Amino acid sequence: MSDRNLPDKHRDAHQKGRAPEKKTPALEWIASALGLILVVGVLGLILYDAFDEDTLPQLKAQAGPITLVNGRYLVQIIVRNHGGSSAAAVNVQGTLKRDGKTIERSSTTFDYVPAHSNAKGGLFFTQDPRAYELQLEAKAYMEP
Amino acid sequence: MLRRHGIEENRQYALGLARAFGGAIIFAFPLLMTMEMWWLGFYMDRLRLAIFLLTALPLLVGLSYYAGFEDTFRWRDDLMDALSAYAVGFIAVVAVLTLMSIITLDQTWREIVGKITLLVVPASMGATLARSQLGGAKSAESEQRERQASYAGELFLMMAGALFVAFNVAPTEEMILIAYMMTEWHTLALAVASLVMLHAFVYTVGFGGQEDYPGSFFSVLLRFTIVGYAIALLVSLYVLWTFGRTDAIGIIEIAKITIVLGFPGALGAALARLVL
Repeated sequence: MSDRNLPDKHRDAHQKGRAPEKKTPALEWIASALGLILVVGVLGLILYDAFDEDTLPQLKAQAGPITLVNGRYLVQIIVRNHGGSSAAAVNVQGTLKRDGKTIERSSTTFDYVPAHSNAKGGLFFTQDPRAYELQLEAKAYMEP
Repeated sequence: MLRRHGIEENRQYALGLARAFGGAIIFAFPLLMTMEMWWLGFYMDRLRLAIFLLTALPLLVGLSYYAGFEDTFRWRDDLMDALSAYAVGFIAVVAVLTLMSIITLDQTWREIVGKITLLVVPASMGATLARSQLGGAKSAESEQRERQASYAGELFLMMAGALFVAFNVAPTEEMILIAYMMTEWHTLALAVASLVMLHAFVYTVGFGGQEDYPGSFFSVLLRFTIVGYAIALLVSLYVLWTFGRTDAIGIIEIAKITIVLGFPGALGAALARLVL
């Protein structure tokens, strides 16, 4: 607005001359180019994912560090899904065994374990899992 | 590299981008904070997700034509606006999802890309609409185009409105649950109610801003209300299909869910004119 009040006639003429043909700001080019890169990139990734082998969920539960929490033993677990499909309501059961005899059981359910992804959780035991044989198993899942 | 006389244009454009960023967050935050959206992002069918992304682009170009966040004069500018709206929506979604720890670095790229892609669509629509909602200065040209929108243009705006509003509730479990709870009579009544509501909006609000509704009662009913409702239902069906809500469900149940989602869809179609 203040530009118009400038007594600089030269500038006025310059602006009028350009008025009908709008000049595209450099920033617009940058933003649009970024948008184009993002669209093409995201589309490429999704299509790559789409045509990747669509296998059944392959769930595997692994035990992480064991810590004593309020008098109980917490086993941190990580569930990996190596398959090409996501799994919902993944039930993981941990069993403490000695000489084939079950000492204690604990289980949890993960809402989702996406394809090629992990989910983390924990199981509590009253006995020290380090003193026994700990079996971790992904028992069941649902299709989302 | 910016030449001196380009500084003002760039400043204006940066302001437009900031406004678009605000619009993206305002329009998309209900979906950004809906857990079904994050889950759908990683488990929905990848091809349907790709198709959805490709559908969104022409929609953004069209919206930019009618209500862009920048004065648009030429077709190329509308395409550029659509792309920059996508970029703004993308950045807004990534920023909010990161802030809320919905995407984290220990997730795989498939999960992260899925969550982002689905949410960028409403965010970039919000970025495009920001001009007409947040910035007082809507370009005279857009205003005029909106008023003089052709019949096809009116239908396009209804479709965009239906998609936006239906999309906001479509991912939730409640759509399915409501359809299960309703009897066939409830469904029929809801369809009629949606039609009446849509017609009331079309009739009283009037198309083309505050102009008189074009044509007689029956003409408006047939050309706008019935067609508008059909568009709302088709958009609803498309969104349900995209989210995999129609898989392994009987045709009667699909019809019921479509009519349930058609209710917000019709609302969106009716309100498209007010929002834009």
